[in-house]
Amino acid sequence: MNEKLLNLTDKQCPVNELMNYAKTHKCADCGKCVFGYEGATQLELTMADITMKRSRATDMEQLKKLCTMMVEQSLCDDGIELGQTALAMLDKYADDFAAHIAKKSCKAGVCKKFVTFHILPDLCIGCGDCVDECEDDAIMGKKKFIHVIDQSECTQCGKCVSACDEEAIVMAGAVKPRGPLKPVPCKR
Amino acid sequence: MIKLTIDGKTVEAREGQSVLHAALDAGIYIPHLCDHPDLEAKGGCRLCSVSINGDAAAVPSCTTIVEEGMVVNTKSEAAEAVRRTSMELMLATHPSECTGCPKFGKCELQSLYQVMGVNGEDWRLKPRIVPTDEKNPLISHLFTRCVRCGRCIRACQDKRGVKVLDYVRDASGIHAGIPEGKSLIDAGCRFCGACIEVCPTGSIVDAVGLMEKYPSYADNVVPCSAECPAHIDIPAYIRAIREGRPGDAVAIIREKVPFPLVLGHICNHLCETGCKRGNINDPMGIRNLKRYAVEHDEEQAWKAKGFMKERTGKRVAVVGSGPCGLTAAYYLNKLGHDVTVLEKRPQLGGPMTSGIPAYRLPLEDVMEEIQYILDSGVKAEVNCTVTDVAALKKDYDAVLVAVGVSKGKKLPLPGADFKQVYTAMDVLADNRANKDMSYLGDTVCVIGAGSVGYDVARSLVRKGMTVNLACLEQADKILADMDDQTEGAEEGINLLPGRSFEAIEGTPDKVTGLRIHTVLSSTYDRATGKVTEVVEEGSQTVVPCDSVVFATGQHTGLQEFDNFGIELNERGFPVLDGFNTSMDGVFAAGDAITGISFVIKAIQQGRLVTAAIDRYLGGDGEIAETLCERSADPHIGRIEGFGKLERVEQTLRAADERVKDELDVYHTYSCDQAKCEAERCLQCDLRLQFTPVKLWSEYGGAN
Ligand code: SF4
Ligand code: SF4
Ligand code: SF4
Ligand code: SF4
Ligand code: SF4
Repeated sequence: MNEKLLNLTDKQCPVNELMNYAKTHKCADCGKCVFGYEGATQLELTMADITMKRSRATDMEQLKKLCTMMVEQSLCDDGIELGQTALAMLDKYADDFAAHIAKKSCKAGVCKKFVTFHILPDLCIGCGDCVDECEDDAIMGKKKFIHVIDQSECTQCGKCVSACDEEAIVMAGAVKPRGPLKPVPCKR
Repeated sequence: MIKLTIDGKTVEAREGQSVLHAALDAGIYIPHLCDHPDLEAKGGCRLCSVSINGDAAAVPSCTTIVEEGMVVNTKSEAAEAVRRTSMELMLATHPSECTGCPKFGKCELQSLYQVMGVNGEDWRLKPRIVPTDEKNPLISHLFTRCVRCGRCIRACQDKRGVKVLDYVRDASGIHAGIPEGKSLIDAGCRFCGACIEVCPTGSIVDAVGLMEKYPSYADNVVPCSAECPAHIDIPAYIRAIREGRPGDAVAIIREKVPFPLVLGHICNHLCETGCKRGNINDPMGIRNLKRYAVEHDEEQAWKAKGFMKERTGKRVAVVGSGPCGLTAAYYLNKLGHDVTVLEKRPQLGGPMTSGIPAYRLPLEDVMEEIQYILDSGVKAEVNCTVTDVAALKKDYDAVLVAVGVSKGKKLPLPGADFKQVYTAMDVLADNRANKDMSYLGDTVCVIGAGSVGYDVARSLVRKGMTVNLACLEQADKILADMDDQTEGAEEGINLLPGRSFEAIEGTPDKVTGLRIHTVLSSTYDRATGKVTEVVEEGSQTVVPCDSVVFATGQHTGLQEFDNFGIELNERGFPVLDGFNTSMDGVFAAGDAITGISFVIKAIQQGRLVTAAIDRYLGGDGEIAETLCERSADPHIGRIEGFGKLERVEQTLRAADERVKDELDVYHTYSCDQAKCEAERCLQCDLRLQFTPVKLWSEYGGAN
């Protein structure tokens, strides 16, 4: 079992880590047995889907069964190790996987699809530069009003961040900054 | 024997046998894919999972060895779950459509997922697209369909020892392939086809069109033997030559033909047109190797082998002693019948001794093979023309008419009846009999440039004559084989292709020339027999000559007899039902029924009619015999540069030398040449050693 993967820091997302682990695992370079090779493939593909907000409700259960079979049926120790590591991660980081799947959030802020962009009301001067930059018209506001990003329109491209000279636009993971839901007049 | 229980059934197994094969042998089907009966089991696919002695975890039955008292459950929940999951996982990365796959309907994977009722749709789908490679000769690679079972790799590496195939990685993932992106030739492939034979999917397949020529699988795999009219076991005799056993090679050839040396000289080698080596560079020198084998067969061990049945007391007359008649006589005698061959000429052999010139077929070589037939008990009478078959039939239980087509035909030209106008048949017979041929004069025109026309022309060049060889066909459509054409040209034949013939000039007693014109193109209508020409204007000319020889077709000559006794058609060929003529007990075969053909075809006709006559006389018609036991090492190993080995040709004597005599124009292969040439063979037959893998449906679907 790979101990490093069971001692992740706050900055590491278990979904992303498991995806990369499966992708670069020995089994992915071998192909001599179905459970090792195709198991690694399914782990990688499923993790990738989860990071991309394309998870399925059955994913956890299916992967647990798969990993159990990988441990039992792989041709050599490598496949067994991959199955064991994945099983342990699915167990230890169950909350993170669940958050990705259900609440659709990535606590470590690694999975791009789960981060959100916000305009800090204290810093926004209501210049409107960000509005011009956003190709998806996701930013609401007018001159001298605190601008607000419509999360249902935002595609997380992040372009607005550099458009704001006041550094009022920030990226957020699980913890979101507070702010108005509709544009309100600037205080400054 | 070891006793164990599989699915409640007591089964006996060999010690050391796998549970999978113990079950399959007992008629209990367990799905399996990466296992192949002739390759080491690896246990990679897990489709063969079973539970042993009630253990919780399923194990692969292919790598589990039987033990006394073992209790196997092939359908336990654990085993079924593993099996289904494995199949689902494989299908998740496999093309979803089977239609259009070359293996459709014959694919083990397809058969398995159909019977298991499984698909990959619960999983993340990811086709692994690998570009199809059809640039290699004989073998197509479609690794998009590879399931990484490793069977081809084990076959190529372990079974064959060639080590071309391995697991390779590209952007799509891992699949079987040739490392470093090499071509098969550059990687040292021996084109043995083992990989094709064992691949359970449509990933490694015979190149398009290769397996559709004949109805039988074996014929498609070994096309040389399929093309040979007598179906000689060509790869086996080439192998014997390579391994330094020319005597065995002759025995193998003699299982099918009593004239190996004649064929080694003059066979038209249809086998070589089918030979798969021809798809790589040039076909094998199959005919030349045959000659080599006979000429190096010191011990002639085949003489002591083969069947000789009890005498039946039945008498058979064979009319005509060409290759068909003598072949039939040889086998009929072996079947126990008393055979008498009746030949109208002073010498036995038909066209072998009175047609084909000595520079292609030395007389002593033919006579040696005929002598063996006589030594085996066949009686023969020469100078004996049969004119009434009904009278002959009174003295015999059966008669075979194998008179060939020994009468030449002339075209109906003005002057064709002049004194110095001859047919090829007569000229060739005189030539073979060493007669004085000065009656032809100094300059001769030969009409017709088929094999017979060339025989005449090349023979007369050897008599010091000036020879014009004219034919209607354009230069690139000439019927004779290429060797005749190039060698004839070297020997000084003046070829006049694309010519049409108007008349023979001169008087009935003195030919002075042949009037011809040039045709730019011509078409022949089979139905009406009419030739339409596009004539080159002003091309009419007279080729001066002292005589004209027609090599424009032959017939049986039977219609020249008042009452031969069997019904003939308007062209003088016997009316037939199979090999039976209109008279009970009288059979016909060979060129006399097929029209002019090749020696090997006549021999095969002789074999076939033998069976018919034997059955008529109360026998079983069986003439198959084994004169040499076969063995072939599947481990062929590597030969550097195998795909680039060039065809070895026999040494051709210099033209100015060979026109001075009647001796064979070729020198037979040296031992080294023969071995080099034999080494080039792909041994296509080795593929057939593999145990055919049965699809689920072929187990009777009992489970
Ligand atoms: S388990 Fe072993 S044999 Fe199977 S794919 Fe992984 S490394 Fe290869
Ligand atoms: S290899 Fe077999 S399963 Fe795959 S597409 Fe071809 S027929 Fe179907
Ligand atoms: S044809 Fe024979 S030598 Fe060539 S790759 Fe296939 S198994 Fe190997
Ligand atoms: S090419 Fe065929 S035999 Fe070879 S590994 Fe792939 S599926 Fe198996
Ligand atoms: S390579 Fe050898 S076995 Fe294959 S077709 Fe040619 S002669 Fe026959």
